[in-house]
Amino acid sequence: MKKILILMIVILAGLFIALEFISSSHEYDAEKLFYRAMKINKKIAINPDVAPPMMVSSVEKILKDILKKYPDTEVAKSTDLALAEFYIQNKKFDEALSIIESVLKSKKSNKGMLSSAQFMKGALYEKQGKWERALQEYIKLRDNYKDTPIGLQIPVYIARHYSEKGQDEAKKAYEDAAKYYEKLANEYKGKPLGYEATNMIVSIYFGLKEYDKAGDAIEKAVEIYPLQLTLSRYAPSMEFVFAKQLKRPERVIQFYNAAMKKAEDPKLKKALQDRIDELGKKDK
Amino acid sequence: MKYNLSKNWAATFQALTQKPAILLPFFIIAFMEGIALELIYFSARKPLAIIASPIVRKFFGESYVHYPGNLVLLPKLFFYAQIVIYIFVSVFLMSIAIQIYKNTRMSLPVVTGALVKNSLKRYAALFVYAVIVIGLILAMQKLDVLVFSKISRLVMKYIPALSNTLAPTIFALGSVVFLFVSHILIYTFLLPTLAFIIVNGKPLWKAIWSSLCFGIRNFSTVFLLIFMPFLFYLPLSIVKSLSLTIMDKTFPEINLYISTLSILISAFVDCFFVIAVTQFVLDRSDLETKKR
Repeated sequence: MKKILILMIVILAGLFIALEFISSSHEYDAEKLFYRAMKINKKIAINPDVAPPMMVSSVEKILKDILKKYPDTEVAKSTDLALAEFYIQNKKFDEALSIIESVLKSKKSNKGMLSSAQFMKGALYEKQGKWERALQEYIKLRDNYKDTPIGLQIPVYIARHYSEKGQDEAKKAYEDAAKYYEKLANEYKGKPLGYEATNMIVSIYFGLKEYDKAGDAIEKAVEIYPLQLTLSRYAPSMEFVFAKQLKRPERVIQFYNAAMKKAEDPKLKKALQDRIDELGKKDK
Repeated sequence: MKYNLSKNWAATFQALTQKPAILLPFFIIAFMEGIALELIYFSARKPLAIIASPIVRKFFGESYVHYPGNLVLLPKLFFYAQIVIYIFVSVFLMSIAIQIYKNTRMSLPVVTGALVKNSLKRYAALFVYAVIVIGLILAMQKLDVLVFSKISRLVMKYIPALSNTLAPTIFALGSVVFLFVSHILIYTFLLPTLAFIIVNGKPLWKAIWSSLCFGIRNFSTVFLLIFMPFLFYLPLSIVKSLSLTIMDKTFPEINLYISTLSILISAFVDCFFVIAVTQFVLDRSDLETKKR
């Protein structure tokens, strides 16, 4: 029995060593290092000003190691931006800017990376208190990368900046953003970007408490986009705002009636009818 | 007549130390589980990734083919591997261990070839038995999710103050205890089946019926025979249920170490309670023979 046990242990150990040897993957090793760096960075980010210098330099070293040892891996692509973000967080703006510029110039960068780099360039100036410079970069981001998530969100980000500072421009910035999204929604009507732009319009008007305008945008969305997209997304907010807050359930009934016309599934039709009946009862 | 549990455990311990061959089938199970664990651990890297990654990507998502997602998924994949090993190999090997114990107890020779041949003859019955046990364990897991999601919804509705503070921890622990007790109950009523198939030579369904009756008649004894060794699993089950938090606080490879530890513990614990219950079944049948 001892022999069998020893044999089993030897096989297990041998297999482990063999797999460790043949499975050496640059991608995996880079992912491991990246995870380690991000974990340490999470601790630093809580308060970068009091982070131990050893900790800060270890993150920098790990990220640089990834770029040096594994330049052709997928992880290396995000490591560039992670390092730039790390430099911004630790106020090493010149180092951050040079990385961002190289990402923006690199032919290897995809649209997602480019939009992130462009955003970081703006954030870098913003962190230095140079809002006007930052704004220029954000506008470039808005105009050149409108079909990326970060590019689409930037007008709201700009408006939020004014709002957080309590500046008068806030309302105007939100209205400008809404106008921009309306233009985008018309330009890309029926397409995913148009749908996302409509969602942005709705959330802006909800934020501004201009519920009628939000309702109009939702109704337009119901007309243009597939019902399964719009109904699940907007029904709860429509009921909350119009039925509960503004005590105008007829507006929600109108929305459900428009949805009923498009619905084909009998179960969905019945569910909508039930909601209409219930809202109708409350109305009386 | 009251059965002496401590005598049973002492005799089981003595049997295992005097005839360590009884442990061998359980070490073979541990060996196979060890190989499965190693393959899963390396499955995110080439060359295993060529086969494993598309499957993992399809069923679980892109993040699980990368570090540390692969280690988050490791316990789940290992659980599936354990199910396969249990159905095809573990129960078969357990039946061999039962035979070794029976032969030792009756001072009969232990001939490996004969033991394997005897268990192979009953392989179909053992296979179906394993499927039933796994089916019940999986059903209990579903029930566990259902019960605790219902309870948490009720708590959220009626005691919202608790829902964000104590409730999640209580539910997590409650869920572990529920599964722990349900596994013991499944074994209380079904584990004697193996002894009835192998020792008494009963056909599967008769053996299951006898096992159910045996479990009902001697509920407290069989339950305690399984419960006490199972207590070694409890800390491990709690650690497993908190694996995500532990991973975050320590390092992702901890999941590999936890799974390795569970293999080692289960080799001894499983062997102990299987032999303890078999001994109890044999003691009872000896008593009945004497009465006649």
